[in-house]
Amino acid sequence: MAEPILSVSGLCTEVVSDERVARIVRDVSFDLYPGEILGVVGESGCGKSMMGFALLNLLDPPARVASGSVSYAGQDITKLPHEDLRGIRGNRIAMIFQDPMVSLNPVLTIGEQMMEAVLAHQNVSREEAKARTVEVLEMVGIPKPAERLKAYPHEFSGGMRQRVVIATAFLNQPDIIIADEPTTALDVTIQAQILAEVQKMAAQNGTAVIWISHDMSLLSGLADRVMVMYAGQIVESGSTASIIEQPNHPYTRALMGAIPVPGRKKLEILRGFPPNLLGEFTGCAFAPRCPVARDHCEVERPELRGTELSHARCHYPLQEGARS
Amino acid sequence: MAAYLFQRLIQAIFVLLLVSLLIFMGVYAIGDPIELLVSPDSTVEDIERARAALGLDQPIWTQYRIYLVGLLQGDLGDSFVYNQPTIQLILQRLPATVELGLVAFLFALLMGIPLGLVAGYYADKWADHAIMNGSIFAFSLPNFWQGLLFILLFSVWLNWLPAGDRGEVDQFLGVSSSLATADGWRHIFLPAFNLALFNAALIVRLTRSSIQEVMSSEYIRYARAKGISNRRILLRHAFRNIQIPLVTVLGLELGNLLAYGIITETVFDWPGMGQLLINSIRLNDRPVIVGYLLVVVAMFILINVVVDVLYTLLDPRIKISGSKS
Repeated sequence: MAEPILSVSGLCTEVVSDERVARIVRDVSFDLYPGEILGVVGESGCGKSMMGFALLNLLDPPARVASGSVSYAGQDITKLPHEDLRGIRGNRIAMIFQDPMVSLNPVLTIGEQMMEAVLAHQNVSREEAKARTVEVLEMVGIPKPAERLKAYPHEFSGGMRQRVVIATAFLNQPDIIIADEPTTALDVTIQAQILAEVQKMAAQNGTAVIWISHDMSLLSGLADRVMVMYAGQIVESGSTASIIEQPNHPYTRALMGAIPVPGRKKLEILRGFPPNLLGEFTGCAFAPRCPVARDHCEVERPELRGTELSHARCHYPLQEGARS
Repeated sequence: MAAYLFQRLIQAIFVLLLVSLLIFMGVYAIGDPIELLVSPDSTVEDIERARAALGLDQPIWTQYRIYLVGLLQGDLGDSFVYNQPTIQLILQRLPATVELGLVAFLFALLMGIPLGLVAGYYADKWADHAIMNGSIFAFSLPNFWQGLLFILLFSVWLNWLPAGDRGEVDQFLGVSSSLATADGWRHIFLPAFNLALFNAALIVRLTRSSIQEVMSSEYIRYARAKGISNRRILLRHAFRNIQIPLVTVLGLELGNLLAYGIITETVFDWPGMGQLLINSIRLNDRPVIVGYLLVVVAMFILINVVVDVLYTLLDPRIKISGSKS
């Protein structure tokens, strides 16, 4: 396999308030390869969005990257000076934000907000920037894009705004796109169109994609590889097929059990809530909710077991072969 | 838009009528001005004759009706004291007040907005602390005292700028104004600066808090994620969004600067409307007091209409129509 384009190692983020520290992302490590679509899945508050922001060093105080590194093209993004970082953001690594209703500036036109992303990174004329903007708006299915450039965000529906945000990420043909639940607000047909567009970019241009979602069924059709996050940690990682068909971690199995599929009469419900990230937990973070936990799980912290591309953080993984 | 402006015009007429009634009654309640107007050794007959000449012997409603009929014809009545049409008195002094107010407003903008942007952008850094502490002095120390200190420093000790009066005037945009001559600018600098300081301090604080609020919004984070430069994020993305609250407050401040520069006008011996008003109040010169306040109310109404129209230019989400409010 080729060299990874992004290499995350021991990434920890924290939010400091009133001398209390909430550790939101805990020791996350993974590699991302060109052309790969990596799904990140987990329930609300598991730290997946914050991990996405940390990858571009976009955390605002009181949140910050506490330790770890994010290597892109031989540089550690968490330690880059501002001007170098600015040259990467939106250019080599683009991000698609979650909520289309608040991510666009309400008093600037769509055209200005998209063209500025081109002009900030490429030495091109306004006409060329405009042509590129129209081109990507067509890709995401905005009808008559050239006429819509003068429109303001409030004149667009939520789905149209999200498509604008998605199209903006395509503008500079980045190496990596970090997408934070971008299709939640879209119709299924538009969603399918955008997923196809993303897959095409990954295949043709070698764009690597990190797709953050809580929708496992969406990821199953899109991602090459899936990471499951729980309480700020990666609890399982592997190829999409193996995660879906042979989950190792009980939490992954619980997520799969909550997906409605034809023929399934009753959805399995995972009781309880994720642990409070303000404190430290001894043992496995999932133990209090785990159907297969034993006394041992409450005490000893499980390490990731398995190969680099397929591993789980569990003392008693569900698949026989993974047990050591 | 036309329907909206027409509606505002009708409202303005009602407001002006109401204000004229209130002030007329208020000034009437202060007392009979006749004793201040006649010489102390007049006979009772002299006083009665003067009272009849000014119409003060009529019942209050009759007096108001006569005033109102004049007002509707654009006549603000004659001053009791100067024996001249009030409108003429006001128009003589209006240019001085307006030029002082406008220059002070310009100074307040030029000082307040950049400093506020810096303070808001570098919140809780040393630049922010320096600017915010400075602004506390500007709006807590009494304005007249600041004015006296400026005169002491710049006029008496350093002898850089004149301490009072309007200096040379010349024709400027069709009115006689200090702004047309270099000497006029030298004269207007200190009083305008003095008048501007308090307002600049308010603008600094408003700009700072608005910028801070906007900078933490999601679209600013998104702009950063696109790799937009800090300069453009502050001056385009953030500043564009705080213009609505700024314009609201700036409109009110402009009104205040035009109408209530009285203290500064007094300190710097500026021959504006402020002095006229103070003299008129002292002598209970009712037509001038009522006339002056009507002019001030009309200015405020005009400024508010301009602010409303500016809203529609600044925020694409706002449309004004005749039916609204």
